Amino acid sequence: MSGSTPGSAELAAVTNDFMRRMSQGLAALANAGEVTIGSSAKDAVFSEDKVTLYRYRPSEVVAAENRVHTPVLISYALVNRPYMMDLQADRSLIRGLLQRGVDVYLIDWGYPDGADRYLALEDYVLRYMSHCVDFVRKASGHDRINLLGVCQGGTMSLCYAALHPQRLRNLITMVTPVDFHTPENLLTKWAKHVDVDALVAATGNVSGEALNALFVSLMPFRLNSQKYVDLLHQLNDPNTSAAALENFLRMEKWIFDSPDQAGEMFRQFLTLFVKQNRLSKGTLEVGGRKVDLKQITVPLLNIYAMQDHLVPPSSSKPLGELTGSSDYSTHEFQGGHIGIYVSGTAQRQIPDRIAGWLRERDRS
Amino acid sequence: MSESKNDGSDWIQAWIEQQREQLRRAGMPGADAASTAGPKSEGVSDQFRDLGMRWLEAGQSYLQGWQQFAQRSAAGSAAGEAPLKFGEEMLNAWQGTWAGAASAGEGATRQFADLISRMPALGMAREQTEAWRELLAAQAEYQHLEQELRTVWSKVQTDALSMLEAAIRERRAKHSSGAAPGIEDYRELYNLWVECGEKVFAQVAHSESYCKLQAQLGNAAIRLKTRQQAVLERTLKQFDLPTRSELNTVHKQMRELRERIATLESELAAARGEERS
Repeated sequence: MSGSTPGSAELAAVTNDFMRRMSQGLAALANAGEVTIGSSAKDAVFSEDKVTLYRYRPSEVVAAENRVHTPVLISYALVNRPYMMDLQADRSLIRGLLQRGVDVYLIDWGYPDGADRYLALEDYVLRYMSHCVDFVRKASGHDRINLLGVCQGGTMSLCYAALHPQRLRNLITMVTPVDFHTPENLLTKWAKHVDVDALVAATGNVSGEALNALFVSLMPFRLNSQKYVDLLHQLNDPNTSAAALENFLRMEKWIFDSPDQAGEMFRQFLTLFVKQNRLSKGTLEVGGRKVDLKQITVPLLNIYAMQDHLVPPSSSKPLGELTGSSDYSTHEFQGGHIGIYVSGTAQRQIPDRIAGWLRERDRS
Repeated sequence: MSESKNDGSDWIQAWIEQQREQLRRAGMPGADAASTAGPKSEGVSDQFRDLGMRWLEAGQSYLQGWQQFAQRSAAGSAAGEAPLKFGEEMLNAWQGTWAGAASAGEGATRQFADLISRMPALGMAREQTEAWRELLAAQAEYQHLEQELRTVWSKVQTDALSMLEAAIRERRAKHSSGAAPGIEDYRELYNLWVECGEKVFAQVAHSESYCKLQAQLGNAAIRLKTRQQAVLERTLKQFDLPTRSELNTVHKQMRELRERIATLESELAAARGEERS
C-alpha cells in the first residue's frame, strides 16, 4: 500500500492500534495458567473395556421428600467428552440436577484406539449402554430407570429405548438428531457424497482432529478467527475478569479434546443415520433387531435448541410424530448447541425443567 | 476517532482495496484466506507436499536400486556367476537406495514422476512401479481438487469483500441521516467483514456443487492415503514388521470371538432363566 493512497495514513493508524491491542492481549494470555475441569464429586462404579460409568455424589442438602427417587443415566455423544455436562461449578447441568434432588449417573465412553476400530452400533447400544442401564437398575433397586441422551448419545438412547422399553421409566433427549434429512442440516449435505466405506477402510478410526476441522469449517470466519480476536480484545479490558479467561480456556479445551471415533461405529452412524435416515424411516436394525420408535411408550421429554447449527431443531422435532409415547413433551431452548449446557439461561432453565418433569412422573 | 472514521470513508475504503490487492497478488485463490485459516491450511498442505516429495525421492531411488540390482543379477546369471553373490548384491542395492535418496533432487523427482506415469510396469519392480504409479495419480488428483476448492474459497473472500463494501455504504447512508452510528474502529470493521464472510460462505456451503466438490476432495484424500499405505506396507513386509492390515485381521478375529462368547453367555443365561442384555 503506497503512502499516497487516500486514507492510507489513517488505515495505518487504526491497524497499528488494532495490532497493539492484539499484542497486549497475547501478553495477558501468556500469563494464564492451567484450567481445571469438572466441579461435582463422582465415583467410578462400573467399567467395561474403555467405558466407565460414574455416579455423582447426591446432594446432602436436598430433603428426602424433594428427591427424585428414580436415578437418571446420562448417555453423552461419542464425539467430544462428557465433562461438558459438569464443566465448572456455575456451568453444570449435573450440579443443577443434583441440587434438585436427582440421582445422576453418567456414561463416559472413553478414548477408542486402534484396537476398537470394529466396535459397532450394537456394541455401544446393546452392550455398553445396556450393561450400564442394568448396573444402575441393580444398584438403585429400580427395575426401570430414567435415561437422558445428549446429541448422538440421544440418538443411541432412542435405539435402546425402542429395543428395551420395559427397562425405562422416562426418556429425555437433548439436542438429539432424529430426522437427518431436513434442509437446514448442513452436515448431512456435506456427508452425502463422501465415500464413508473407503474413509473408514483407509483410516480405521476417524480422528477427533478431523472431526474438529469439520465442525469448525461449518462457520470458518467465526470459529477460526473471530472468537480469538474477541478474546484478545477482551483481555485489554480491565473489567475482564480472570474467571472469564478461564471460562474461555476451559471451553477451548473441551472443544478440542475430541476422542477418535471407532471406525465401524462411525461408518454405521454416517451411513445408516446420516445418509440413509433409517431411524426416522423406521428401517434401522441394531444387532439384527428392528428399531421401531413406536415401541417407545414411556414418557418422553424432547429438549432442543432453537439456534443450534449442528443439530437444527427441525431435526429433533419430528420425534413427537415418530414415537409411540402418549406423554410427549418438548422444551425449546433459546440458544445454541453449546449454550444449552453452559449459558446462564441454561443454568436457570434446563435443570429446573428436567427435574420438575421427572418429579411429576416419579413413582418410588 | 476523527469524523472521517465515523462515517467510514477513506481508511475503510483503503482497507478494502488493500484486501483486494492482496487477493489479486496472491494469484493463487484462497492464499489470503481469513486470518488464521488461510496461512495455517497453506502451511499444512506445504507439509504434505514436502512429505509427498520426500516419499517420491525415496521411492525413485529405491526403484532405481532394485532395477540396477535386477539388471546386474540378470547379467551375472547370464555370465554364469555364482548365486552366492546374491546377498552382497542385495546389500549394495540397498545401500544405493538410501545413498540415492539423500542426493535426489526435485528435478530428478519430476522426471521420475513423468517417466513412471508413462511407462508400462515391467520386470522385477513391476508391482512396486504399479503401486508408485497409483500413488502419483492419487496425489495429482488430490492436488487438482484442492486447487478447485481454493478457487471457490477465493470467490467467497472476494464476494465477502463486495458485500462488506455494500454494507459500509448502507451504514454510511444511515449515519448521514442520523439513523445509525458510524464505524468507529478497525475491530468493528473486522466484525462486519466476518459477518459478511459467514453470510457468503453459508450460501456456498449449502450448494450442491460445493458439497460435491468438498466430498470429492475428501474422497481423493482417502485414495491418496490408501496408496501411501500400500507402498508403506510393502516396505514393512520386506523387514518382517507388522502392518496395519495384519493388526486389522487380528482385531476382527478377536471381535468375532467376543461375539461368540457373548452369544454363548446369553444362551447360558437364558437356560438359567436370567434376563438377556
